Parts: sequence; structure tokens; C-alpha cells
Amino acid sequence: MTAAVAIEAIGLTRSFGRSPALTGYDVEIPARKITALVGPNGAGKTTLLLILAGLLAPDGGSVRVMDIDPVTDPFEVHRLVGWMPDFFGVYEGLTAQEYLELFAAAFRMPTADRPTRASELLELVDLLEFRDRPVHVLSRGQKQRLGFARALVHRPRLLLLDEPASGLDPRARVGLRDLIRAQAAEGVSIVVSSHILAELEEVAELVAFVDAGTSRGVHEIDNLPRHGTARWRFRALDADALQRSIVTAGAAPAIDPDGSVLVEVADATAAADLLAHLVREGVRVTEATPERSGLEGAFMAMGQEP
Amino acid sequence: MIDALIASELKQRMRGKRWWILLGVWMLLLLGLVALVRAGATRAAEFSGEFVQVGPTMFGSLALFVLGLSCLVVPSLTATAINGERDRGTLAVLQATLYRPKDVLLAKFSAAFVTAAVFVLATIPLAIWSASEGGVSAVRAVVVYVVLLAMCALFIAIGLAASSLVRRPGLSALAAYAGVFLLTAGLPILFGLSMLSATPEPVTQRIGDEVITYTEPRIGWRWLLLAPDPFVILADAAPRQRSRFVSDPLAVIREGARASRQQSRSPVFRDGVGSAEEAPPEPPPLWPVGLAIDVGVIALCCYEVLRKLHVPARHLAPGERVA
Repeated sequence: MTAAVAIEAIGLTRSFGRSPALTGYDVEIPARKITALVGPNGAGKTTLLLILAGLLAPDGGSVRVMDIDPVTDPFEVHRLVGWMPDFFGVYEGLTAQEYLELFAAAFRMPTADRPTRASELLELVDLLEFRDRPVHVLSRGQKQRLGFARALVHRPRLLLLDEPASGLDPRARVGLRDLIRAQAAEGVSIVVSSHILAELEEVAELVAFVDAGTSRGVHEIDNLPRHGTARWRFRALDADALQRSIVTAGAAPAIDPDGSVLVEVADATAAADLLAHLVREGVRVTEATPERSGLEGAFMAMGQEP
Repeated sequence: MIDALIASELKQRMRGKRWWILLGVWMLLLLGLVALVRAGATRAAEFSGEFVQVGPTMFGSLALFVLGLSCLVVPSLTATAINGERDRGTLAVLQATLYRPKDVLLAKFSAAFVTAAVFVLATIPLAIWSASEGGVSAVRAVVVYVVLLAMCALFIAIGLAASSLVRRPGLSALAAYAGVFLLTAGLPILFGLSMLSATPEPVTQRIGDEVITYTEPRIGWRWLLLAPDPFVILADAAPRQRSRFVSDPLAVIREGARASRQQSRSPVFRDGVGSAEEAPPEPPPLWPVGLAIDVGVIALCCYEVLRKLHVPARHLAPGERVA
């Protein structure tokens, strides 16, 4: 029924004025998977998603989304694709329910079905209590969830999510991750972009790297070449004791000017072991946060070999 | 499906307090102006001692005031409609639906037109008050209101074009008002300036046995500069007042505007010798030509809006974003 390939791009180029955003981008992203689109800011992620959403025409190259050309047939692509931009606004004067009903209408849903669909989506993203409240009272995380519900209004077969987690607190991110997983479980193909890599590591099955407007390949997350290490930041009440203890654990601490310590570890397990060691040694740790995950490490390593 | 978009536009507008406040100010202002005109016209009539109907004076003034205030209010309805939505990040998600560019244009146009119509039609009680003083025919009233609504459509289209062609909302509002100002005040000024370059022509006229010759600048095509002016169209399209005992501001503009066309169309008076007894027939109206030009302006504005709303977007202005 659905194509095995969700997205196929060959030699996509697009520039804005004199600055190139995509410089010959080739990719093939399979359907029914969660694919992380990962790259640094300015790598061309947003431009690519705009082209895939049928909103921006590429300068050159060819692209097919769910086996449809978004350049010649943009509205057919709109019908199949749910797009959530990195930045979007909501209509201030409308209630959450009215906002979703408007988009239900925009996808030619019969008038009688619109209220049900809107309520259904509000329930899905846990905003039912805001149903009759104006959208401007929503917090950033709630607006983000409303935007996610909006992207789902027409039951798309492919979801394009541009940095959906940016600016969200950790709890809201977990909620978003669960929503993405639930959609994937229903057979929706999902492409989700981020420059914050750690948050996609546990939700995505595939990762498509993009850098400087070109593709750096699509990999299965589990089979990623793990020559990248994770970097963790530790902070303690006594900085000297912290450093000494890290050395005794056999790791090499790098001291940050702000007094915290950066440590390269193999993965999250190694980081947890190190933290346990520090606590055993009596170091009063106040902070232990991942700075860079193994996924990002792999990507950084990849970027070095063009 | 487009009705949902129009409804949402209107809902957002009506839920804001400022439109109701503006409507209130609009009504009070017009009521005050018409009352002042009535007081002034009544006094003038008493002074002259003749029987004068103040109805046409009131109604004509009302029509001009409504058009003048529309020039201020109506462009603001759409002057930031497209780029404002782009700035707030609501346009791209709307374009990612099955709404075609023409749906977005039509919805914005319709919502603004309904709002403008509420303002214009809210003045009907003032028109009835004027008519109750006598001398205003129903046809005249209907024609004036139809023209007022048509001119609102023109201002709305100019606002929409400005909001899609100019990236920054502040500048597009300025551009919209500049466009409206050019049509209403700029064109008569241009007409005046263009007359400086008009070649003087001898005109010979025989009055009785006396033959007088004088020179007059030849207007030629220049009346086309006056024709699209909304005030000219309004005054010119209103049917001629039968009663002689009136002072009607619309008639003053109408006579003035038509005079510009008479000279250009009466070669008899130019080269040959005409006589005062053979008074020329009433000059042809300007408004059909003017209205046609304005409809052309509306069409051009809508075309530009559609071009800028095209998906997938091809050319973006520097600094312009899709989303």
C-alpha cells in the first residue's frame, strides 16, 4: 500500500541569495521508521524539511516524498505529510479547539467530523483542559504539543518534525518522545531533526547526518560506528577532590575554566560507573550531565573525514 | 472549507476590543460631522431666505466623510495581513494544508471586506437622517453606497498587495497608505502638475455678434489622471441632482471632474467657431473609465498576492523566510 521508501532525494540544491543551504543532497529514507535528521545549525536541515513539505522549491535536483514530487504536486504532498516547523505561531484569538478545527477544515474534513477530531487530538497531546481557552494562555511546551496535534490533524503518513524539542524542559521532551513513538507504532514514517543529539538517540531507529548542505549518510543507530565517545561534565563542592578521584578511577579529567571537569567516557554506563566511584570516594558531586553523546561523537568523527 | 478560514479571521478580529472601539469612534465622528454640516447648511439656508433643501448637502458630505475615513481605516485591515502572518509563523502552516493560494487570498479579502462593509453600512442611519431632510433619491443613495463598498475593495486589495510585497509589517502599512494616498490625493496633484505642460490653444467663441478668442491649455489625455480617483468616481457616479436649490459637495466635484473631459472632447470649440447658444451636451462621465482602471488595479494587486503565496516558493526576497 505505502511505498517502502518515504523520501528520496538526488542532488538537491537550494541557496538563498548567495548563501547555499543545500549543495547536492542525496538521501533515501525508508518508510515506517523514525529517522533522526542530525546536523549542526546551518547544515540545511530546515531547508530540506521545507522542500520535503512541499513549501519550498529546490534550485536543482529531484525529490520524491511518499512517491510524489512535491515541486509539481505540492498539495498531494500536503495531504500525506504532517509538517511541524521549528518556529510557528498560533492564532491568538482562537481557542485550542477552534485552532484544530480550522486545520481540520483546511484538509477538507467534513464539518460534522471536525469537533470530534479536534477533541481527539487535544486528548492525545493532553491539552483537553485547554479546549475552550484561548491559545495564547498556553506555555511553550503546551504550544509545541498543540503544534504537534495540528500536524496530525489529517492523519498524515509521514511526519516531518523540525527541532520539535528545542526550548522544551526535560519533562516536556519525554512527553514529546512518547508522542512520536506512539505515531511510529501506528505505522507513520517520521523524520525528526535536531542538533541536540542525545534526545534523538533513544527514539530514532535511523540517523541521517547532514552537514554543510550535503548528506553524511543514513545509518542504523544500533550499528553506528562507535568510535565516538561520550563527554560528561562533573561538578563537586571540592574541585580538587573531584579531579583526584577521577584520576584514581583511571579517567583523564579536563578542567573547564568555570571549575567543572569534563571527562571522556565510552558510554552512559561508563559515566554511571564513574559517578558511583566518585560517591564511594566521598566526593560531594553537585552535577553530572552529558555534554555530548556517543551519537554526536560518531557524527563529529564522521565530519572529520569528508 | 474556505468559510472556516474566513470565520476564523473574523472571529479573531471581533474578539479584539480595538475594532469595537474603532467602530464606536467612527460612528461618533461621522454623527458629529453630519450634525455640523446640517447646522451650517440650515443657517446658510435661513440667511439666504430662499427655500433650500439641506438633505443633499448632508448626504453628499456624509458620503465624502465616509470615503475619507475609509482611506484611513480600510487599508489597515489588510496592510499587514500576509507579512504579519509570516512574522508570527502562522502563514507557512496554513500553506502546508490543502488551502490553495487563491483560498488564502479570498479568505483574507472576504474577511476584510465584511469588516469594511460593517463600517460603511453602519452609517446608513445617518444617510436616512439626511434623506429625511428631503432631496436625496433612493437611487442616488444606493449608487453612493455601492461605490463606497467598491472603493473599500480597492483599498483592501492595495493593503494585501503591500503586505505580500513588502517584508516588514511597518513598511508595508506605510506602502499601503502611500498607495491609497497616491490614488486619492496624488492623482489630482499630478493632474494639476501635468497641466503645466499642456500646450495653450486658441479658442474662438461667438456670443451674439461678438467673437472672442482666448487661449486655454489643452487637457487632452490628462483627464485619465482624475478618473481613477475614488472621490471622483464617487461624485461622478452619483446620479445628477434634479433640484437647483441645493448645494451638494458631490455635484461640485462632479462638475469639476467632467469639465476636464469636456474640453478634450469638444473639437468644435477648439478649431471651428462655436456659439454659446449651442451649449454642449453634458460631458461624458469619467467614472466608467476610472472604475475600470481601479478594477485593473485590484486585479494586479491580487495577482501579486497569488504570486507571493505560490507553493512551493521559488524566489524569496533577501531575508524572507518561508517559515
